[in-house]
Amino acid sequence: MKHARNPAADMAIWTAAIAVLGFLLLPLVIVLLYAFDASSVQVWPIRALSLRWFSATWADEEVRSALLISLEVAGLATLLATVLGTLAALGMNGLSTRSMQAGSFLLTLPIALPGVLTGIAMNSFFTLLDIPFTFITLVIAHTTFCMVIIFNNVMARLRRLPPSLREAAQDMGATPWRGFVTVTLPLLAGSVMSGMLLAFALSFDEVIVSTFTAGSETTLPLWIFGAIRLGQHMPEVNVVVFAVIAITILPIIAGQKLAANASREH
Amino acid sequence: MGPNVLMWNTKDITTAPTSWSIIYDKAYAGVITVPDNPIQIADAALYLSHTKPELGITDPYELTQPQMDAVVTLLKEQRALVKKYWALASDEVDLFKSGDAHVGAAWPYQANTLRAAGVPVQDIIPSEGATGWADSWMISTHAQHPNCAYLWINHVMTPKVQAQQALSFGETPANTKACAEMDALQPGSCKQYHADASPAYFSSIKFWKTPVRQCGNGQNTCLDYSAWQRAWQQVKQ
Amino acid sequence: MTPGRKLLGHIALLVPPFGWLGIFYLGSLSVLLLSAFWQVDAMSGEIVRDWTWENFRILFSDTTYTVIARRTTGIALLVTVTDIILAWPLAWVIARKVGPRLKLTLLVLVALPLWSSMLARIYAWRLILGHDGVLNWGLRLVGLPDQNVAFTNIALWIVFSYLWLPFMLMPMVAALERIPASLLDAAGDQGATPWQVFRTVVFPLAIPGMAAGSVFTFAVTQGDYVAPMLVGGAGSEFIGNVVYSNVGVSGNVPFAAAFSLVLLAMVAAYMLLARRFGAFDAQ
Repeated sequence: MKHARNPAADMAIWTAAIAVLGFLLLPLVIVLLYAFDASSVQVWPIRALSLRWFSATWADEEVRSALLISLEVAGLATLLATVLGTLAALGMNGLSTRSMQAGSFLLTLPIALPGVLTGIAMNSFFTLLDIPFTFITLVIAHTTFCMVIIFNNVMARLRRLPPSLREAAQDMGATPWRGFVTVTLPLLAGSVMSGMLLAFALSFDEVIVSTFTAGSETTLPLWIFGAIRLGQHMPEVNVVVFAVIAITILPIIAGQKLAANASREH
Repeated sequence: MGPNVLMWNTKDITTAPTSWSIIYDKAYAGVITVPDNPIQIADAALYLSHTKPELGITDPYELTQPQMDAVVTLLKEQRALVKKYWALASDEVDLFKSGDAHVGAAWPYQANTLRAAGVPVQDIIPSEGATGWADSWMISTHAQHPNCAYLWINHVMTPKVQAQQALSFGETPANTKACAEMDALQPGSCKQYHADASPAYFSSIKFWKTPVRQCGNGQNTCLDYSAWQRAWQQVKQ
Repeated sequence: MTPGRKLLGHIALLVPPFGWLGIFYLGSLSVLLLSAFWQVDAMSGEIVRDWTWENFRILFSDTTYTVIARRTTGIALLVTVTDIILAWPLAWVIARKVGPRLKLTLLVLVALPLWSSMLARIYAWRLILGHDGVLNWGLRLVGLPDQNVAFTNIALWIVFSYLWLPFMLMPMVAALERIPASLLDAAGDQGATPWQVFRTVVFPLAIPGMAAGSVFTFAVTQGDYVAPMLVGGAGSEFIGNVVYSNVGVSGNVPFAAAFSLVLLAMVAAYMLLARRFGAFDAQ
């Protein structure tokens, strides 16, 4: 860097960045803090600390079954979305910019259009076809809006891959399929994985579309919504959030590492 | 069943109110909360039947268009004073707990919950009377085991279950025999929840009913519930 | 490979994902479009499948719905602008100012909220903004007067800006990372002031990132009903709340469908606009 640094401007940027980060993390800190609140009624500041809500939550059957359903829905939807999103990216790679933009636009719709719209549309669709609202409708809905996450990640990676790589493999006598499996796929693995983590997170926390497509299934966010609205299990909600973060912190770090590596390998 | 009561924080409002007028009073702008429900129109109609007798409101659930217009005008003025329309009991409990609301329309349940949490609130049926609700059990015509449903209903009608339910929610039991059970569980609760009240008490409460086009007087000039829903949306904006 | 076979290969790959989208998503949207022209029988509550403009007539003649649509769009735009402003310093620091280790830490911290219940975080704002909450507690500590922002549109604006900020940050970090350092150096060498470098080099190159982020901040705010329900006050109704209560409470799906089509039109218009600024030129 040859051009002169401006310490005052640097200072201002850093201060602003830290303030914004604080804004982003403050509510989370509060949620995590209240997991240790002894009282069942949340009042600031906390009067007494306790671990009793951890055992209460662990013993709560409803929480356990909601957690299980959420894991199943998010897992299945992520797998389906991974297959479909990767196929879409591979199929669109090499098409004209125009068709690529159109395809990307279409894939983005389910996540960019407001959840209430996607939710009520799918609700009317299944109702019209007399399909009952079950676990399956929930997975279909979640897959639909998770696809684009995988697609974006894989597409970004594909565009950075020099086409010469696969051509070289084919010049050396590899079939297109072999060239794909041995050259392209391993290079895509990182971006697929980080996309999967993001898709899983998205599905795991989705409320609005789920409300309209879940029928009598209760996912974890739907249980939380109920708990907040009835106002009777707030401490358990905080414990659940605490536990989810504690369990997922490692996958998040792994995911960010994968994404960072993927973007560095130009 | 139970009334829709007037509840206030006794620390913030030291002179006990006796009239619903307090929730339409500009002096309390920003600290009022009322339910987010079209049936809230009936509460305003009940109030207007006392303050504006010239409107001729006899039953708060039977409103003609001119009467509805007057109610909507009152409620739109009230909107500027309302902190939040509460959709669920927990919303109102939070509002009083955090000090964001000082007075509002409530169920006895919220008053009980707040007192248990140490928030100083008081609730009354104001001089104009109150609207009220009576919940009932229904059996679906598609029920696969109607006999089981009947057994269940018999079970929830027993004095003991009625007493437990009444104490848990802060409501009046339908079975008057629950009185003794209630006092056994929590002394004085029979009287507190009006389980022993006279017929005069119940007639002071205008229980919820679905508004229909037929007015009580045989005319078809009243507004039905879908009109009430539209009016409520206009009030809330 | 012949061009014909190559095309066939593309089609074979594209059929499953776009078949899925076509059936489940476009199919759903078509049903939504249709049902907006149906009605609900006032007596029986059954849906009457006769073609009518009645729902749209009510929507456009009753000022209630115009007010709600205007409020929804206004707050969505405000949130988008706020998030762009808030994202700049942090995105710049993450993209260009820190080493790989600190960068990873910061990215994890930004992603962390996305992994923890959105609902619980919205609820936390009640504890922050409430009359006896964290904010006023802090203000009293330093001797400042209480603020009454809980359950107002200001609270809604703060909470929405908070909720969608990571979605603005991510694409902006990606866009800023891609600016070659040599370009900045070259501009500096030619005697450009930092402000000129920002205006003529950095900002234009960050536009696709901001556009991509804004699609989310704008659209997601426009369609939400959860935050207005939890932290909004009297006069915080969003289009989503009307849709939600018409489906849930009144059982009037056709009217909800009609209002959500208005929503669809507004968001689609915004997406087309954002496309012109490169929002969909996948990184």
